[in-house]
Amino acid sequence: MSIKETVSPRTQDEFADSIRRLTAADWGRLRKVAGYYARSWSIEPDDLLQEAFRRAFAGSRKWPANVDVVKFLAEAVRSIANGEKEKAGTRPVFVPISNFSEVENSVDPPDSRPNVEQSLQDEQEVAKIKTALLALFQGDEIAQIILEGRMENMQGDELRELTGLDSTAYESKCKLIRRRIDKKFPDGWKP
Amino acid sequence: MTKDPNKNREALDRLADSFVDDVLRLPDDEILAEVKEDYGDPDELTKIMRALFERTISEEGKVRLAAVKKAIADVHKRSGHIIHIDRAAARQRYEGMIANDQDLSAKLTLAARDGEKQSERDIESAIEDLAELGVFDDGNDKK
Repeated sequence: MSIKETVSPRTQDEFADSIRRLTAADWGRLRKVAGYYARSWSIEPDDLLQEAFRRAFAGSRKWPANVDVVKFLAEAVRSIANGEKEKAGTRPVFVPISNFSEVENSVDPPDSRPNVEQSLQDEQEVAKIKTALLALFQGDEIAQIILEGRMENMQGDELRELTGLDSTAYESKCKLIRRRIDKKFPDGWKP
Repeated sequence: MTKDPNKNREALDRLADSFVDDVLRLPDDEILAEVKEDYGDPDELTKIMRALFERTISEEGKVRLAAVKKAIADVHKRSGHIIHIDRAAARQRYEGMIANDQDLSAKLTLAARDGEKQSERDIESAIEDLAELGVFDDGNDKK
């Protein structure tokens, strides 16, 4: 998803009015979107939404006039979650000062490089999650192909061709996959 | 172990993106059914989400108001002069300004106390701020 800001942005009042007119279905979509992006990063969905509201209202994130407000907020939530991910990935870690240091009791300077050990541990946990997701569809080869394909960024038409499903059957299988994962991991993807 | 240390993480990110695309395309009746299963009554969720939004913009309004007040106070501190105003006349002018501008009235209410009307203290403070900005400087309102 990407939003190109080619049209002049809406005003603060227009934004507030649009939010106040959202339906229960719109709020449901937004809450679910925040839930999906919050899932992997131990962020609260409400915190993501609140930050998206705040940025849009303050004007630090512009809402282009040609973009639906729900899609705009979904993209804002995604971007905020990615920002949190970047922060987590580059969090300062402390490295030992050289053993040859002449100064005793000196403070280790923070290092902005990712901690290799931590990165490996994170990656192993993510690999476990991926395996657990695929295991939910043991015996359903079509579902496993679609799930793997979506994780590898394959498009719907490619996956339909690969699985031999028509549009309706494909959409139905995608929904089954998503809902089974929703129910198995309601509070986030944990191994 | 994979050669690219972020490969699996990125795979999960792409899966989240694909789920979001699906949810944004779902018809209203299907999303409402899912919401009911996942979070309970959709109307209750709507109330909670709306309250979250109102709280956020109210806090944002207060932050902005505080920034404006601080900027004015800084100017005041630097200039070091005291402005004398006829409070009754200024109050009358202020109320007239609000009565004639529904937009301004709505914004001041929003910035005040979670949608309530401005308190006396807020009004007095706003009049002082406007006096600082010279809004009442037409010769009639200054002592």
